[in-house]
Amino acid sequence: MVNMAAPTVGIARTLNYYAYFPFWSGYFDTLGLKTILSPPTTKEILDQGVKDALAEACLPIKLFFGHIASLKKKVDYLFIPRIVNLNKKTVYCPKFLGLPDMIKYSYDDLPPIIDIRVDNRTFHDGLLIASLKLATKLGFSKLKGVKAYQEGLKRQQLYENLLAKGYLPINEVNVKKPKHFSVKSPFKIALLGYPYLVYDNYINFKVLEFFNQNEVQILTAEQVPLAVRKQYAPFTNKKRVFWTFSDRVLSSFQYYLKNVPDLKGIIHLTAFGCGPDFIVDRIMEIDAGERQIPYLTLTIDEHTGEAGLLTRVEAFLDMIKRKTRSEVSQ
Amino acid sequence: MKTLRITFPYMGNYVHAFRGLLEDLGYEVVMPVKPSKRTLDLGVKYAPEFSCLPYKIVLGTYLETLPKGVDRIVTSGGVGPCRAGLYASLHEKILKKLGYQFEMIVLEPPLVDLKGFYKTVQHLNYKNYSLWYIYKTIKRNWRKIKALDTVEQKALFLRPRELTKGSVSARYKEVLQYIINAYSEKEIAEAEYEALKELEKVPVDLNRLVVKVGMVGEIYVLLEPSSNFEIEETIGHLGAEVKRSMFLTGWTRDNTMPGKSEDLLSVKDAAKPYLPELIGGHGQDSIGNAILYIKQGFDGLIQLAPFTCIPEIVARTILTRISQENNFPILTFFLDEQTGKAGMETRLEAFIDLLKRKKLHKLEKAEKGGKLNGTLSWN
Ligand code: SF4
Repeated sequence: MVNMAAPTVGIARTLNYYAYFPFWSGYFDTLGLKTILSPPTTKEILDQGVKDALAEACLPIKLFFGHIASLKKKVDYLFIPRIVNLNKKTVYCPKFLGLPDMIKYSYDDLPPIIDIRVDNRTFHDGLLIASLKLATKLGFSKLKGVKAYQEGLKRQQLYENLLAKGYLPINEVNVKKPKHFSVKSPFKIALLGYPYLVYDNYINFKVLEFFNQNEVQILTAEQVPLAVRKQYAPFTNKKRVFWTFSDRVLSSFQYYLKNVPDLKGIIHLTAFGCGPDFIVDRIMEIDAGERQIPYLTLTIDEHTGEAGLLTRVEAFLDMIKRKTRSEVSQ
Repeated sequence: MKTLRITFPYMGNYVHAFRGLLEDLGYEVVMPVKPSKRTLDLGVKYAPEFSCLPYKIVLGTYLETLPKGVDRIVTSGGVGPCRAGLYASLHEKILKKLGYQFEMIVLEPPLVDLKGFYKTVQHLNYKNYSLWYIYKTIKRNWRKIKALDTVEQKALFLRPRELTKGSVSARYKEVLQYIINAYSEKEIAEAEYEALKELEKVPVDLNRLVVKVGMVGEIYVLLEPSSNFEIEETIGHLGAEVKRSMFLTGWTRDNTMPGKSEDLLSVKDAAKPYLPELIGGHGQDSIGNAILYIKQGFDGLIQLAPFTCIPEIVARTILTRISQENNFPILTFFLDEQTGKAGMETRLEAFIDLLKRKKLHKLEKAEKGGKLNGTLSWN
């Protein structure tokens, strides 16, 4: 197989993509496999996903179906890892855990699916184990597997450092030519939500560009490094939320609330039908309310219109500006 | 010492056993009322829009009972990845925001954290009864739960076979009181015996051809009839026998005893080829049980899921394929506050009708053109 033209591995440009693509690109590049990404989200992709997925599924899962549909004929493998746990503490939304199965039983004409399972709770380094397993399965030596893993980690680290510096991955995750999307401004808004909503320019109606034009500086969950976030246990002191991305949103929320004195407001970007988010949203709403920080929930579904969404954001910003002005004049 | 007032979420007949248990621990129990439209409305008003139906119903129940004066709420926890494990904490946050003062006590599954479980139990035992006493009262009320389950299962079997529509339900309601009123284990056993005997007196036609329907899904909507519009009764009246995949006795056993029961193992094993991952809630069980029902020759399956319930959405996606591959009809209800009983009944009627026609067709084929005897009736 290694001698043939490099086999292609298809990766959907959504869900885990915005969080872990650098690792997998480094990994597959080193093995000499070509990764092919689905295009940035389009109307067609979304429509296809809405058609193929269960009506009751959340918007991001529908989106994932659409991305897979756009890829499946063009690649030798589909890469849908079952990422269960990476940090020994939190797991991913159950829909992530059942992702390969949902896809497998929904389409008939699929290339082989690489559904390698990554779980750090059972192994010391689940990612390394998974990397080795996958490499040998694909016909490479263990040594090659280790090298690929190391390259992956290197890129991932680079990427996360860039995020921490305020770089925003808009539609594409690129460690070589990162995009610095957000302006620096005293007008700071925390835009919190799962990366597949916040960084997908189609699905959020370019809300980041909108902020940019309006001289608003955006703070996202990924800008708070894990080591810092760890100290912020969200929720009641009894329990942490147990989903990775929710934990990320909530702990960065706590961080921003306590450490950014000139934080003007918080926007929670959430998807219709998202299970974990009803909990996340209410916690933030109550806590932000107690500190009198303006809070807005933006729920996106497949029928959301651009005008409607941006109007609400605009009204929110206006409200904050009025509030600040009256505070100043008092 | 002041007697504390305690309440808990409403869940099927089991509330009677919970009540007994807490009274034995020296509490004054503020009984939650059976969830009604008002309960749901209250829940909907104060719960996040996208929370699921059980979350709203339980919040509504608290909102109905708290004004009566409650010191403690005791409820179950969970460790995910399904949301149910966080319900209690968010309920607490919302209720306290509304100004209620109470203590929320969450019982986490003992298998996960035995020490924590023990501590919670000790905390609940504020009158410092001996461990032996607690053991006895748990054992007694556990017996009660078992009796409630047994009698309910009997009703599920008899209902589609009754000669007069509604007679089983009516009788069932009465005999349930026997068990509710029994206190000692001996009394409970006797009550169970009497209840079963009485139920068996309801005139039925045991030769009637009845289709068998398995029922899977999320635990609360499975166990609390008011959350599913008494679906089991409706199905029974349509002439189908319901086999529910979950009873409290089964569930608690699997979650409390070290070393899982054989039952559960086989459900998991059955699910594995389709869904190898534990995804929280009862998604994997829904799939495993579906496979087992197919193997046992059931005629169809109904899945009950709260709208936006993640594990059940994953399960449904896979069940679609299982249904195709096995030519096995599956009907899913995603339940929310907008679900209406009438709409549900219409879909159920069509579904049961389909199952009956299929079964009839199969029987006719088996008889190879021979005549069917006269005992067949669809009531
Ligand atoms: S976290 Fe929410 S939006 Fe994301 S896949 Fe799960 S249910 Fe969907």
